[in-house]
Amino acid sequence: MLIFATSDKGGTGRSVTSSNILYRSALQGSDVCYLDFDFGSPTSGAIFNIPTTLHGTTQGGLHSYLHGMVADPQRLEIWQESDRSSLRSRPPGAGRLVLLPGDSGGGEFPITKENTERCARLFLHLEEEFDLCLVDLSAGRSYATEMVLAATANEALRNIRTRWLVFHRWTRQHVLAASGLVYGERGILHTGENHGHDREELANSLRFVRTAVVNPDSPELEGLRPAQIAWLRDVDRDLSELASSRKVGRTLLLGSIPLDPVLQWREQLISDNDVWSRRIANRETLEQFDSLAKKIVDDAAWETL
Amino acid sequence: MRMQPRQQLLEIWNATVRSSWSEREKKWKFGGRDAPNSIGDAEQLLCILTPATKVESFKLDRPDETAEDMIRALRPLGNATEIPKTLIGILREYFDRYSDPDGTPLFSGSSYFSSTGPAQPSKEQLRLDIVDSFAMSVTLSLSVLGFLKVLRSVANREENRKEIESLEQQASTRLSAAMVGLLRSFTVNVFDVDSAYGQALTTMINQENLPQRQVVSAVRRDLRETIASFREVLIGSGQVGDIDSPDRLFEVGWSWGIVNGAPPIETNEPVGQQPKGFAQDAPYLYFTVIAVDAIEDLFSERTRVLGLLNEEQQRLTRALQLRWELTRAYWSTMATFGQAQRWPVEDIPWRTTDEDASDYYTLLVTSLAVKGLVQERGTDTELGRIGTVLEELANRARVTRRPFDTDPALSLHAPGVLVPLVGSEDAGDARLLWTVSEFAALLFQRTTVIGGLINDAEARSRMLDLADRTWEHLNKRRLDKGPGRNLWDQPTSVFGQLTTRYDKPSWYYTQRVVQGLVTTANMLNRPPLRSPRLGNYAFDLLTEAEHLYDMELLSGAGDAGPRMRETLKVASIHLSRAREILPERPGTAAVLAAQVLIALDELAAARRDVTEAG
Repeated sequence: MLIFATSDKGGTGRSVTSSNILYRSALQGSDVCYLDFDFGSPTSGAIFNIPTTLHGTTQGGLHSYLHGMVADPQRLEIWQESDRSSLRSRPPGAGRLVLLPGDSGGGEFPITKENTERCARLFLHLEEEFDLCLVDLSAGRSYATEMVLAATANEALRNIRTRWLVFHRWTRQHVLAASGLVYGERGILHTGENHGHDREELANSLRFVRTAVVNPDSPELEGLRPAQIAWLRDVDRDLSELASSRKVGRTLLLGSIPLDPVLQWREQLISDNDVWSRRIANRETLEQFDSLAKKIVDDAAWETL
Repeated sequence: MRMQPRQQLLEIWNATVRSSWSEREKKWKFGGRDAPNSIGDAEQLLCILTPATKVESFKLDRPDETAEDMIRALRPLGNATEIPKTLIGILREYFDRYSDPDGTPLFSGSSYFSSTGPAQPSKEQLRLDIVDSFAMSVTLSLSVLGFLKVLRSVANREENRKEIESLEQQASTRLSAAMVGLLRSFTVNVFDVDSAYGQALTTMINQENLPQRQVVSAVRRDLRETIASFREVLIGSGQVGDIDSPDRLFEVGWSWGIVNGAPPIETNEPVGQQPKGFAQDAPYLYFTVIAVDAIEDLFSERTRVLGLLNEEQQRLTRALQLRWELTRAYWSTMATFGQAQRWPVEDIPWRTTDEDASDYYTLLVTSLAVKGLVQERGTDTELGRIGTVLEELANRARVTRRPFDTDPALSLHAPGVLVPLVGSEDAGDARLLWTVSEFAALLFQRTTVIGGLINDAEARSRMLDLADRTWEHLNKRRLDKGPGRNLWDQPTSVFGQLTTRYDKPSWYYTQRVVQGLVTTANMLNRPPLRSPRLGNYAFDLLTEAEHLYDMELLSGAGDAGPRMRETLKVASIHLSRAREILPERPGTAAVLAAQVLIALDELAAARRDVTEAG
């Protein structure tokens, strides 16, 4: 299965959240790989703590592959290459966790027939090898997004199950932007349709994930004054109504990740250790990652009204 | 109020789902204390649907906006998106279950019937249509149609839309059939002044001890318009010819089922076979109240705004509305007839024309009387008088007072009032009985209705207090164990004398409690009553505070140090907030003004010390 992760704006925590989801899914036993399609700023190496690839690789990454400079993009086995102790060895029962980094110093590039074909070939190839391939796209409308829409419209990829996750923060501006990115002019659905996708089918394979969500009723917010909570609850309700009217509401929501200090300030994978023994991350965050990792492959969670 | 309707309704939702939804089979189990029947099953569903369609914050038809605690209460039915789908499945099962194979909707009373004789009710008797089922079907169908109307606008998938459309069709057919049933069970019972009926009626309403002739002509004068309108009753039952002669009196309302000899209604709606009637051609108070309440839903604001009725149903609604008007006008005239100190309805217990007397009948008449008062813009004093009747009924029925050991009043609660269904014997061996045990729940519901109508703060708080005390009584009558815990009804919990213990819920009773809670919730959603006294007081306080504040600014305090400026800034914010909310919440405005006065007085008192010392 192919999962495309995109977000309405920069700074939503798309990369860190999708890496975490993929990590949980590897821990649950699937063979997974992560493709860094954020061509403007390839940073996935940092999230997985790969010292040689903190800002992209120099040894033939995805840019080089798509431009036809190497036959195969570089692959990094996280369980061997990461220098973070909790990621160093594969836990028993866990599947493969592979990173395909972007090139350092690479940038955005317009799509051509050739690179689209290479992209489609890569997807086909990886899909056979892995249970789950997560493609991390850049924020907003980008060439990368257009390229994958064109590639997946390819006849050969028609039978591969494809899903889209749109990450956005739970604020007014982000709700509007996320809705625009999906339904707006030159948005995902519009672009997809131009490349030959069925609009309704594409819309049905797309869900939203809210990040850095402040839940007004959570025990973490005990420190707030009653007036602040009363206000927050009303704001939250207004936002829900706005989201509903913009088709970003609960029916299309796959999960929401609470605001967590570790995600906010370290932007890294949250390990079980961080929650249970060091207790720097919140349990709810880990639970959300776990449930999202299950939901992205669970057809029941994708049913709509 | 001491009861909290939101929490209570959530608890009932939770309990209803727990006792009705089988997780393992993913199936809704119809029936409770009584075996499944068309009324009880509708009542069971209404325990979920009434709040969902009548209280804004309980809506389920927009999964994007459903509140978290609602989803939590209904968790076994699925998540926010699945809950509506599960409900559609359950509703479909209901509509299928109570239709003939040819699609004719069925309205039988079946397991709610009992028999007067030693023999069990015959098969044919169990199949008899009953007004309770017509009424409950009108309410249920309208709830379902409204629910689907909104849901359809958010459903995108073709197959779900199809599901919704076909369920809409079923609900609409059942609604039409129920309306036809109601048109065929309406009745006007005309009798001679000197007959037994005539005697009973005049005695009941003659509170001034006038000669009978005068009473009759006064009644006929008061009902002149109603009598004239009977000529417009042209379809279904209740068509009368000989009502105009001056020595005749009559009763209007609904019989227990389709009236014997009632002609079929011509309609192009697919209502199927219209069965032959058996019911006596005379109104029953219980069924009249039930029908009147249900018909009201047909022309409620919600029904009109959402456009739930089709052309033909609107035509039937107009016919029903006429009968509703006649009934309401008749009964409110009777309940409050005469110039005496005491209204007939205040003369407890009410005696019916067939010389049956019960506190329960008084309770039923109050609800009809209140509808009359609302229509005629009755004053708070008049509504308050009805409220007093309810208070006395609560005492007499031992809802707010302790009972004696062998208290006859307890029979109101268990087994309840027994209504013989005259005419039903023609379909079997013995006459059928209808058991009505809703007294306390109905009392609660009526109290909340009157509480919401009264605009005088003191009279309303008296009603709310009664509602609270009735609620305490009801709260104790919940089942306390088993899957049906927290539902109703366990009368022995409050009346130790009663020995029967139940382990299954009565949906009949629970649905009535839910209705009362829904009325309360909607009343609490409105802004509080404003007392003019409090408003004047707040206004005066505010004027003084503003003046003192202006004086303080004039003296140059606004240019003083930061702490002083802060005090004055806070005072100014309080004052403008108080000014803003004065019309809506005078009490809060008064307190805000008082805070400003205290703050300013601190400054004034300190200055006084300077003058004294100097």
